[in-house]
Amino acid sequence: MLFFSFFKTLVDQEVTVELKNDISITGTLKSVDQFLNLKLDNITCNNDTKYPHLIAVRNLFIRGSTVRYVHLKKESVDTNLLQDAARRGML
Amino acid sequence: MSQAQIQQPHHQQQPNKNVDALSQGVEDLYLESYAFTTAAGIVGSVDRKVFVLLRDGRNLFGILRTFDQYANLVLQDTIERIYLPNNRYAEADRGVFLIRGENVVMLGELDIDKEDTAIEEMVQMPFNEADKEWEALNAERIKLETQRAKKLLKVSGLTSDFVKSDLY
Amino acid sequence: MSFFGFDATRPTEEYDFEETYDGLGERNTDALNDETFGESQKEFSFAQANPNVSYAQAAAEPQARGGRPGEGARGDDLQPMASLWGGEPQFHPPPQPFPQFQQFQQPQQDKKFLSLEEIEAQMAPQFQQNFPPNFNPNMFPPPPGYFPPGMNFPPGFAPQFQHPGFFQGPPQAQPQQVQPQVQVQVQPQVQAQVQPQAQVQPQVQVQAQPQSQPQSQEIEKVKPDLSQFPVLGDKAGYPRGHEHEGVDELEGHEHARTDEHEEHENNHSHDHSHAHSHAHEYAHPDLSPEEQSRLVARSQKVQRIMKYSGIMNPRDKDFVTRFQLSQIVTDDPYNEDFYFQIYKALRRVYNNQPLNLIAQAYLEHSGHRLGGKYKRADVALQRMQQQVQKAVTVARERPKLTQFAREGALGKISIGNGQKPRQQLEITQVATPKRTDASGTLKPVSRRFVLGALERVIANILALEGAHREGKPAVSDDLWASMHVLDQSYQVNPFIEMLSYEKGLKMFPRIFPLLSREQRLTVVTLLFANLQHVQVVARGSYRAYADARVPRDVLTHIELFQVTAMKVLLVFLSEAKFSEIVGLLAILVSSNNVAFVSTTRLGLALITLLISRAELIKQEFKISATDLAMWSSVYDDLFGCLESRLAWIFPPAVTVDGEPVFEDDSYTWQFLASLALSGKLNHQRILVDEIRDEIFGSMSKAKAQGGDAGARTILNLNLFLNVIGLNATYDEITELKN
Repeated sequence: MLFFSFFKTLVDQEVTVELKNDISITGTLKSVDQFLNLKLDNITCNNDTKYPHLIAVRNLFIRGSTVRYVHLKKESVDTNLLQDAARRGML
Repeated sequence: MSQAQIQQPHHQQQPNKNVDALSQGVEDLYLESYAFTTAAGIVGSVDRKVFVLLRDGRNLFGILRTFDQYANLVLQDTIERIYLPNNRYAEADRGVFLIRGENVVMLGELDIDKEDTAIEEMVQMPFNEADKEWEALNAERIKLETQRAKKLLKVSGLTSDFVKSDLY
Repeated sequence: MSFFGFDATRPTEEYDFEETYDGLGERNTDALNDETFGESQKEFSFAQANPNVSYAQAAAEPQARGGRPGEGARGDDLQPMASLWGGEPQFHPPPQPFPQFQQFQQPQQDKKFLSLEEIEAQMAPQFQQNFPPNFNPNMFPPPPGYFPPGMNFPPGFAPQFQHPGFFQGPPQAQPQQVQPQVQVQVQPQVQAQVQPQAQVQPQVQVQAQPQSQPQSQEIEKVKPDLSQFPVLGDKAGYPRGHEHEGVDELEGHEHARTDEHEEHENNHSHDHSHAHSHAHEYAHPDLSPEEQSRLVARSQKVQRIMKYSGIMNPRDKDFVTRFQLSQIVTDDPYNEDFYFQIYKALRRVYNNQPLNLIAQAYLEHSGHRLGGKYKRADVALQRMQQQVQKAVTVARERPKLTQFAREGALGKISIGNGQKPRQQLEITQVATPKRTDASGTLKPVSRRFVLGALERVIANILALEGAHREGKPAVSDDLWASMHVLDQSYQVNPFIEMLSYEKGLKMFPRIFPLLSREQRLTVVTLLFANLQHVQVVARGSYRAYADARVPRDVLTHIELFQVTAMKVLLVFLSEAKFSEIVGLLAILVSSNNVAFVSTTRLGLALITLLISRAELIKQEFKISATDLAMWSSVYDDLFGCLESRLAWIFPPAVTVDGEPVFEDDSYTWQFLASLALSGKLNHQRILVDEIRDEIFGSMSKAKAQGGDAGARTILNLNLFLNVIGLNATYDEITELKN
């Protein structure tokens, strides 16, 4: 539940999702669920040729299991709180 | 000597607010959770044109009709599209598809006014031909990746997370 | 928008979600129950409103008797039971209008049931008139059966329509019972609406176009004439008055999330876009053929989309949502959802606004129409609350199965859930044998042990903080025990060891507020008693290094100590009693190698702290003679330890690549200043004697540095010199003039 909890605080922030196939998609995080599936609005993709139709796509639902990284801004994270939260998970 | 105040740990700074939050009730807290369901993510796309990228690399375009909690999808008027290098593409009609959620990589809602702009500049070719070429490309990629995996393991002791079925 | 007099502004989904929705597997077989019966689930207020009669029973009788379905109680024709219906039934329209049924009924005054054939015969000529051009069978959300049970169609109709699901025979058994009522209800409504539609009809006929699509042509061949059936390819069937709505619907495709129309209205207006595109064509014939074809293509796309819209009704969507909500609902958000809750609490704007926003978001996402601009948020909230309530109760009552085994099965399956996933590996902790030290020798302190103990301390801190946050009283005994402060059985005190880790230093300020005053004093005493064993202190001595330079990482560690532990100590000491301070200094002197401690930055700083605090108190308050004597004695001890080694407090000059590097040594001068201040004349003389070289060295250093840095050096020097009544400039030392 920790990362679900964490991602909930990132809603409406801009993030860049890097998939396991090396494609990166930048967008505003709109929704996340317990499986860490992500819903992004207003997306741009770093690779124009792999999925040319992405130009017509405004929002995207990405299955959590296909994500490799989610790049965030430093200011979006409260690391001390995150450390505490991680500890709590072990209690 | 001036004395500095000891800083309270950050999450104790506003004890009153936390207590009030609790008294808000579990249910209210969960009202706010509504946005945190896959349903919230997909429900807005129902009865709209979407594209789905599957784990085996296929691009499907269709009208999303229904879904469920596992992101299983029902697509109507589905078209499978293959993109090939040098600005080529091919399409095939597939009718109604029921897609098992675990195979979905992404699902995007299409703007029907813009959906064809990508292929407008591309050259269409017959699907069977394209399919053959695509399969060949995939086979090539699998070969390459397995070789790479072997090398990684032998030389650096590292494992590769390449899976043959994930060609997206 | 008004068709059939349908009041579009009224809420249409007022059925109770919770009562109607039992889950997918137990779906009501009468899928259009709601549309049929509207709000009043249980009571159908028909003409006579005779509560003593069970209509269902009456209608079911023929089947029970083995008669033809659809037969009335009399079993021979479709005459309604006179007893049920009485003579002149006055019709009250149901609260839930369902326009879609109406056109299939006849707008006739007599409410008798007609045989199928009669209806068929009647329908044919009637179609042209009472078939409202706006009709689209898809406007109602097609239920799973895909066929409104109220439809009483002659089988002959079915095959001729290309529209697949439209005229399927009623798949459910129930419709038979429902039909009679439906028909009766419907007719008068249609009548009422025929008139308003009258003005529309001429338009329809005017706009009738030669059909390019096979479907409608086929239809034209068949009686009744259904060319007026717009859905089947007739693009002309839409009155121009509805253009704009349709356009807005489509153009707002992206923004349709804020769409407030219910599904069937949605479809309805989307179909209107059809009209629009054509109206458009007529209106702007000078549109380039390319654009026209684009529009046509677009409208075809839209038509295709709209054709089967609504297969997933709001109920289904709510089901999925509710199911997922039930998965993430927990009894204890503060433990399971810690990060989010605290983060939110730290940033919350204190008002009710958030809830409304959430309700809005819910609406947007689920595309619900809740009718009426102002009711929306409230109803949405209510609904969500209901859903969540139900989800919470279900989650609570859900049996906490971890294993499941059927009788006679050959094994068990273990069930994991989101919070407690099934374990892949089973690792059992082999109990490590505890070394019992009967001999009384001190146990060695391992890194593992210290880190483990530190984690336990942190866990206790979190627990205590949580308890305080919730207003529950809690004692710090557990925390105190885990800190091992009084534990003498180890070679080095574990708590002291904990402070050598960054984690430990960060925890220090959080521990203090949770302890009693006495406990705090104990901790501070422990600290001063073991000062030279505190790693961060010991490693801060230049003497530990070959090049006499304290490495970078140690300096960072020292800084961390200063912002965490030092701050805490500062506050504590500022409230401490004179005797306590003097006592602490005494302990420091007796338990440590003071000369060594004085070569460390932190050690020196801490001694400075104690001395200056004592001096301050002495000057501000009245101190008893005994205390003064004690202070004097301790000072002498301290001085004695440092005497003849005072110059060592200065780290040696460092050159890097031949260039001298000047590090900040203000802490040494501060120490000397406070030492001098508390000392007597002879102390000060000895001081000056021993650090004479350093004094002059500073002056030349300042000259070499020049500018701001130089000025600062002189300033530092004067910290000390001023105390003894001297002042230095770059060049000379003179007496301090006030």
